[in-house]
Amino acid sequence: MSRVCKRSGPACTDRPLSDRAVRAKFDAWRHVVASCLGPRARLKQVRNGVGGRVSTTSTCSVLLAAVPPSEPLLKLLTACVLQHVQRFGDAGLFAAVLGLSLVDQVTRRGSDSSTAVRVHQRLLELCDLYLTSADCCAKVEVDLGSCRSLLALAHSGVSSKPACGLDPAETQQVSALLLKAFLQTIPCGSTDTVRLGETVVVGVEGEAVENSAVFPGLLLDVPEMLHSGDLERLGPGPYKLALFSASLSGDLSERGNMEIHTGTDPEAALLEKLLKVGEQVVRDCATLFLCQKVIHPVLQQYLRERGVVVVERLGIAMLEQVTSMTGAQAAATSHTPVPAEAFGWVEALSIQLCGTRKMLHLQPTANPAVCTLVLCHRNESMLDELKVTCKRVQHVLQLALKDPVALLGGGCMETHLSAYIRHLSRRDAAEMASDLDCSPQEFLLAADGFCRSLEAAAQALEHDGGLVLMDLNYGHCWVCPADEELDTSTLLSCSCGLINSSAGMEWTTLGSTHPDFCPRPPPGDSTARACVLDSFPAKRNALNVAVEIASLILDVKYVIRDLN
Amino acid sequence: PVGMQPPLLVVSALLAAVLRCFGPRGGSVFFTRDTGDVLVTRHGQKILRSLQLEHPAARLIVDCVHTHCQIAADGSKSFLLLLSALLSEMVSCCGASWDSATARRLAQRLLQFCWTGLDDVIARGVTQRASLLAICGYHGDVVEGLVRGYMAGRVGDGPAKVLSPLVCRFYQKWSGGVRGAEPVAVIHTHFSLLHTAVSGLPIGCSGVAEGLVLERDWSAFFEHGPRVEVLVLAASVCPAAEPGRGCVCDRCVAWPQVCVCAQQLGACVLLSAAKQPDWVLQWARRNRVCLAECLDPERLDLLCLLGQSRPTPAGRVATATSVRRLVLGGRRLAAVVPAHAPRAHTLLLCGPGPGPLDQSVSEDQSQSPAADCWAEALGSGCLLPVGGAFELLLHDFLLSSDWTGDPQVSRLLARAVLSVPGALHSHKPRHFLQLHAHFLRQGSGGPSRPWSGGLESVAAKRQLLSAVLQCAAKLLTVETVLRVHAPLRTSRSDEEED
Repeated sequence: MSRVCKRSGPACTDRPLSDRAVRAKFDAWRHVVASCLGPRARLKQVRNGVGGRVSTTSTCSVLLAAVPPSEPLLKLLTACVLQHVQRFGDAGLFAAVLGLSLVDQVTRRGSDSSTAVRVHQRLLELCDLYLTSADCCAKVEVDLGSCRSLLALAHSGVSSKPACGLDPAETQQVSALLLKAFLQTIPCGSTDTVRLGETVVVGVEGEAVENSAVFPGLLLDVPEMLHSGDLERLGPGPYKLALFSASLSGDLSERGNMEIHTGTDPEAALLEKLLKVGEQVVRDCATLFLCQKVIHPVLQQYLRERGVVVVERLGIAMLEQVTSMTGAQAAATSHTPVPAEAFGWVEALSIQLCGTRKMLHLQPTANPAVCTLVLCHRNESMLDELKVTCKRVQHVLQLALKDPVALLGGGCMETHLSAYIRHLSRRDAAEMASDLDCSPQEFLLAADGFCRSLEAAAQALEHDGGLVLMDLNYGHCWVCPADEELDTSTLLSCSCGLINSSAGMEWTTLGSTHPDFCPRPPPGDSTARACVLDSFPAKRNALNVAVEIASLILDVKYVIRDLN
Repeated sequence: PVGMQPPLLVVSALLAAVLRCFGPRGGSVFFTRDTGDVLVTRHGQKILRSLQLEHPAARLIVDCVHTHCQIAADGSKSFLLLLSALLSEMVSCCGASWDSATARRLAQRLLQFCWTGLDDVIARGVTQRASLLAICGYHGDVVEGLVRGYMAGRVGDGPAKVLSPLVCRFYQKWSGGVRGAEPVAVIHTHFSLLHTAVSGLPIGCSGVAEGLVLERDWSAFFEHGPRVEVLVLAASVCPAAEPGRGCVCDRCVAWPQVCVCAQQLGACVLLSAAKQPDWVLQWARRNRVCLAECLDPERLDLLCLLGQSRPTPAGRVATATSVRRLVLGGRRLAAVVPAHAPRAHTLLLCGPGPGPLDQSVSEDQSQSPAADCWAEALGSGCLLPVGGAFELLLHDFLLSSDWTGDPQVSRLLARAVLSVPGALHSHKPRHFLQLHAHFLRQGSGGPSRPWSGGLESVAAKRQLLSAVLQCAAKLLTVETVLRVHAPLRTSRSDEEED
């Protein structure tokens, strides 16, 4: 049965941001995102009412992908943030919070959005110019010769995700492991183009975090039929390895076109061919036989009887790792014999016990820049979060290798940048306003909104009711815990650890009006002290993306919703 | 029966949707569907089309806008603005004495003016005076000015600032510094293949890349010398197991032919529209042959066209000066520079996400037809600054004693054209008055201020005016709307009848 529906006209909303319901959704979303920021974040539990997995998280990529907002404009924002995270791995929440705060600042004041957009874009240019300039005080050089700053980067990345459920000692250990794994992925020897290796992460549930470890080479699940005695019988390495990407299951359905002569049994013929492959591999003295897909049980039996270690169902991801580690070329067909140069080499084989999982450890012969990180954790949800966090940190470290600069973390970069932009916008208000074709008052108002949004991102890092302060010398961010009286003499160092409290320093609560000042560079001896660092490329891109999305959202003057 | 009010109401309703994005200070319109599709645009024509209108008069108007845009590629929003202003002027000037006979008479006079008077008015009132005050004071490249003027109305001021120099550079790369219609025509025809969208990066990262970008990464990539032969395969390779047997299936390329071709011509780059079997990839890796699979066939066609390829039994072969791998924000893309088209370049457009990216991509796309108009405009050389200069000049001339045309139509038109600068400066009415006064002074020999903003062409404006006049006449001459249930023979709008 079918019936003809008359098409209904679209629903139109004029100036969506002045609509109260839309504003409420924006506010709610901003609260959700902002409360996930930082090491003291409030965790979010995502679950479906009808059952299924429950995940506890404060990570942007997990949260935003799992919880789609209903408001189309917010969907747009979420999509952009997720794209950014895909590219840079970090600072997604910062982009979301900043973008939403910018929109909020403009709509709350009811100022002209097109002027605000122009001003935001102008200030963004200034921010970019400042961040990339040599005398920028919000960034520190990452010294690739020592582990210090890289470890600080890794540590900040791990500690900012409380849903991982790590205590300080565990955080330290995981960061060190991450750095170790990362250093192993850097190939030795200097060629023009350096291609980083990869870290394979293996999760083990129900074990203490201390049991996490890094292994050079790869860990594969041990095939059921393999016993440790089999490995002892192999003798000393290195071992030859044959690798197949084609299925060796002998199924007819996977063969595509073929001609069948009458009187032959196709399955037997196929099996015969497979056994020929096995025969050749044994003749070439291979000790390991790996296949991406399924291997016919008869062939497996045949190989095992001749002392070959057989591993099937590697999967495409693992296949690539094996190729790059052993130098083997995956054979894509079982019809031609495996050429001599297609064999790879493995230094040693052993069985590693990772908690409850038994794994076959393939050790590389040379320095192939592939390693395996075994992560142990007490439960599944924390392990998932830890895995995501580790991927993120690896990404951040890779970016740092390309561009060895890091930004001050803990909110110091945001407050510092805000102080700098505020100073600049006050100094050159008249000039910039005439450039942007608006009045100086309009310009200052929009610039104030921009700076306040940056400060809001710093303020969002504190969730326990503590007081967030900014000093009037360096423009860094300081936090006074909630249960203490505000006494600036108890402040020791700023959030990023770069500045120590000293006599004659003045503070102001973040968000309040304060006398104009140009933030000074930190005292010369302190640059090595910063202990909370953020990825420079990720955060810079996040800043750009946030301002661009905010401009886009502020620009939308009319929403047309097709109801068909 | 159709009176005067319904068309006016329809035009006003359409205008309401479009007016929000008028001019560089306007915003954009956001379309959503429950399926999750989004569209963010300032493109008047696109908005009108997405509205899916049912009202006959509305569809007539949208048709007229569409026809106009096909010629001029721009001005759909000004079209509605002018039409609405014209109709409301008519209603207010005729008042109670309105009937279908008056309407038809008026329509006749409008058309009369359009055919006979318009060219004269523009030549005397605008072109002459414009040449006095516009071009002489312009600083900067004329092409860039045109692009800037166009883009500002489409993507907003900020992105326009970034994108217009880029589009100009793209144009210059293609033209190699020679001004002419040929490169514009090439870009225009193949624009969809000459740009690549990259999401997740800010707009500022956009750029122009040498050669053709193939939107996919190499499956196997090796550095090669300065001149390489590229073999383009249309289908996947099939192993002919024994020589002389041929393939079992007919829609594939026989492997021996590929091998022979690769050896004889020394082709070390394979580009394929289809996915190739794994063993081909393996072969490519062993023999240091670059291989890219699953490429867009249209892009490959363009590559062959630009590279002046020659056919072989295995596929087409073209010569390339270089094959490269581009890295863009974590995504890797294959790029080929054809030897016979060293000027070939690809525009790389970055945006933070799919929505905003679409916006800049589509603006650039629609900008390419405008290129035709620009080529014409560059030839005739009559350009004016954006921001209502044309309208103000026309207004003054129509009301001045120099012009002796139909007084009623002149008055109507003179008032109507003011709506455009009025809307452009609606956020600052005082600014509008100042601008007006400024133009009046200039017209009488006052000082001319140098400027460097965007430009627009008088030819496009003339086209706009005549389209509006014709559309208004059409609306006025319709007397009755007949609703029929049987489909009309033509596929055009179903309500016109005399």
